[in-house]
Amino acid sequence: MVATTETIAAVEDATGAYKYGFVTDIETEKAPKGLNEDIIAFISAKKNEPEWMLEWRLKAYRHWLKMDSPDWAKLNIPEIDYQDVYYYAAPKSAEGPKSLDEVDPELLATYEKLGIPLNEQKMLAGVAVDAVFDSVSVATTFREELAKSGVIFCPISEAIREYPELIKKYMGSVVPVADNYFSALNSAVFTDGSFVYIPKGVRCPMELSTYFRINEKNTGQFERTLIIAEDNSYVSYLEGCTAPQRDENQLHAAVVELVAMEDAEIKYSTVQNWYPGDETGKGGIYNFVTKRGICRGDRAKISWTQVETGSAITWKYPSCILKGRDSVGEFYSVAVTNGAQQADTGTKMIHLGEGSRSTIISKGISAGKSQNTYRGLVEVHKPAEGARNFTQCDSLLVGDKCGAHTVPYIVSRNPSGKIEHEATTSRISEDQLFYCLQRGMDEEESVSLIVNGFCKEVMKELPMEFAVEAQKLIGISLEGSVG
Amino acid sequence: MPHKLSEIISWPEQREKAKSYFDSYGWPDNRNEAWKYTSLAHLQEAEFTATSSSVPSKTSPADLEGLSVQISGNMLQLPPKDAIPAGISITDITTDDGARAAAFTYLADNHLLPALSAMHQTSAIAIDIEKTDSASPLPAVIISLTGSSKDGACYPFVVVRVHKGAEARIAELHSSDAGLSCPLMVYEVADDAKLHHIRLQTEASHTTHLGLNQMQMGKNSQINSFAISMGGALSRLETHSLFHGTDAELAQSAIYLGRDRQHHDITSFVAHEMRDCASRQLIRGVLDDKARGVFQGKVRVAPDAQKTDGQQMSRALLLSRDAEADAKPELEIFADDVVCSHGATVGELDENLMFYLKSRGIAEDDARNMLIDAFLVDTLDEIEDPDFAAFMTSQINRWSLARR
Repeated sequence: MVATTETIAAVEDATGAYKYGFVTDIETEKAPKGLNEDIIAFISAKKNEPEWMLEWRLKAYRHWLKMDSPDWAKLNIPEIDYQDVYYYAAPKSAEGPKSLDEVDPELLATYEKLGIPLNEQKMLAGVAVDAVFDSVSVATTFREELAKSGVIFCPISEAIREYPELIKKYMGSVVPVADNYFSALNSAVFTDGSFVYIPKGVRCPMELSTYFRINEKNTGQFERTLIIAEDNSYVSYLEGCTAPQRDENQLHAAVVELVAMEDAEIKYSTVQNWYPGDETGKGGIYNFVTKRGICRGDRAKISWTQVETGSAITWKYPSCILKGRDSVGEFYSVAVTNGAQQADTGTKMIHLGEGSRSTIISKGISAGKSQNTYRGLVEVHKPAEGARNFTQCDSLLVGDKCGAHTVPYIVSRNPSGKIEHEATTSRISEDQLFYCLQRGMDEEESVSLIVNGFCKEVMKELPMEFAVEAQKLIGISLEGSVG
Repeated sequence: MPHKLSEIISWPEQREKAKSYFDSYGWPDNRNEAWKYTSLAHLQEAEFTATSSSVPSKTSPADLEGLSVQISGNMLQLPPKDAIPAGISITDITTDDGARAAAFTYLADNHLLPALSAMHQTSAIAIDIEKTDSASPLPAVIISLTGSSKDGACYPFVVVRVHKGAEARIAELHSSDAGLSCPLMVYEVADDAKLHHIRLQTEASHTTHLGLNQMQMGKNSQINSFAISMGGALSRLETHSLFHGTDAELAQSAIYLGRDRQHHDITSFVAHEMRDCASRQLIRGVLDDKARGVFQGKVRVAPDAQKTDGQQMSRALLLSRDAEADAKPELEIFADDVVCSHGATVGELDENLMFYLKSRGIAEDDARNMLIDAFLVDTLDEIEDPDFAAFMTSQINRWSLARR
């Protein structure tokens, strides 16, 4: 079986089809399709959640019922039947595995194909992986080492049981339950995700990483991540994902909340490579993500770095609320769209604190028949004396059937705030292409090289573990876009 | 080829369409994306009488020479026939439904400003400029738009047709003191024609000004346009510029000057529908006291509009702690072989520059005024016509002096 999937993967690799488009066949236990209060109670019960959590979910669900799906993005979203989605699916092992030996070997093989050698991680990169396979975290490593320094890194469902005080205090404090349509949906039905707590003065000894993977047919993935960095602490968190090829649309609505206290720094990096669908976009992932961080303390820093190459539809605006004095927000983004992909992504920088600073660097690459939009808000409020923002958005068009759009929103209520926005749109220059071709590179290689150069400012922000994969991804994503 | 392949809809149908649009949507508030920063909710309760009918009193300003056309409410004062040189004709089309309907062909559908005009307009003129053999250039046409009474509303409509190969100079001077002023101006610039255009808005401090200027450009045509908004309580100038032919060039700049509790909104939409065209926009705003300035600028490049060169730069200067500036520049690009950019900045006067001037012995206030003037002056260089440039410069100076 493993050999067969490997063969399929190899063939698809060679033919240029979606590289990670294989399916792992593991019996799953799932709730019936559809969404109602019973399903939510089922999820809550499955997770052994306390009563207050169920109440919280139901409150979110009741809000969600009253809300409308947002329509302001430059996206053409087919109507989603929320009753035709499974909201819970878990690999069958009823109890969490105690060591890697207990993990289903087929699961482990899947990770290996994705390039996560669970067995060798200690040696390789010093990365702790909390791997999410569908909805239940099945393997968490390095827990002991992290625990030594007081860092908590565990599935969110475990945190709800073990650290209810922290969850009660922080969950929903950055992204309120009724913040938007998709965050309300997530709050009602989230099944897993990660919880990270870095105590005062601790520099997290390793990069934390979670691999997300959508597997079960028609299963919505609703992750919930919460990272809290106490005073003077530091953490770098890596999130990356690939998903197997599917015929039907898969819904994904994640919520990520970051809280940075005084002098704390959180670096959050994402590589997103979910199945983008076929030539017409059929079957691709719908990715509606709410990511937001708050710099609560003075001199706190939050940095978002993202490389978005997958999904049929991306709706995602990682944001920073810069409340602390001299706090810093950063957003580095590369969004590549090809085929029929649609991406509407950007950031929000809300300046509240005196001397707060933000930097936005966004690189959009559109190819095929795709539409790629940068949408960003920079808001300087009255108390944000001397706030500073610099925004640069560059778009690159590959082919004449695609679109690249830039929609920045700028609101300034303090004259001492300085806001600068720059945007350019162009295509790959013929000179550059010619230069590469006459060195013996083929056209696809050349485009990949030029595009990687175009994105360099963002790529250099990625942690080393991600940089290589991300570069490859950009090349793979643009396959078939030239010639 | 054109922006919209709509057939000419008869005037009664046009009015009907406008009415049904307004009945369904009414006055927009900031839940409407296009009116996010400029809400018209205050007009929901307001009631205005029909257009005022006072006799036009103001004459064209002494420092701008040309043929004077005056519109005040539903009263028109056109220059005597024998004063109009060959190549220019000015026609009252208030009752000419055919001409009005034709001028509406390319106006945006389902849009508040054309709808208001179609529903209420009571006076309309057409100005035609043709190519002449004469060596001396045609005089400028100066359109003064006035209208009185605080509870009155005026909806003047002007269509300017610059015919093939002609060169026209048109000045719009908006100085109404009506409660609501909604001028609609349509400029049709034919192939190889050129338009020099200035627009000055100095309306009364109680006026809500909702102006729409539509620019339609033929092949190889050129427009050099400059607007200053400094009057009104709430003022919105929308410009819609459509390229109907290749190789056309648009230079379109604007300055807004706000003080007290004024609200200035400059909203522009440039539609590159044809290849090999260029557009260049410079926007500057100066905001004092509790004024609020809004700039929304959208540049759209259609799928076949290759070799488009679209440039846009907006800058706002905040002089007071209570002023606010909002900007939403927007690029929507569907063609790959293009060079498009936009930039936007908001900030206060550069401290280093202030320090430099002060270190040379220049008093703080003088230094500040010099820097404000400098901030505005480089955009005035965009005006090609020397008379127009001098006139607009004098208006800026007048504002600066009043501020001191």
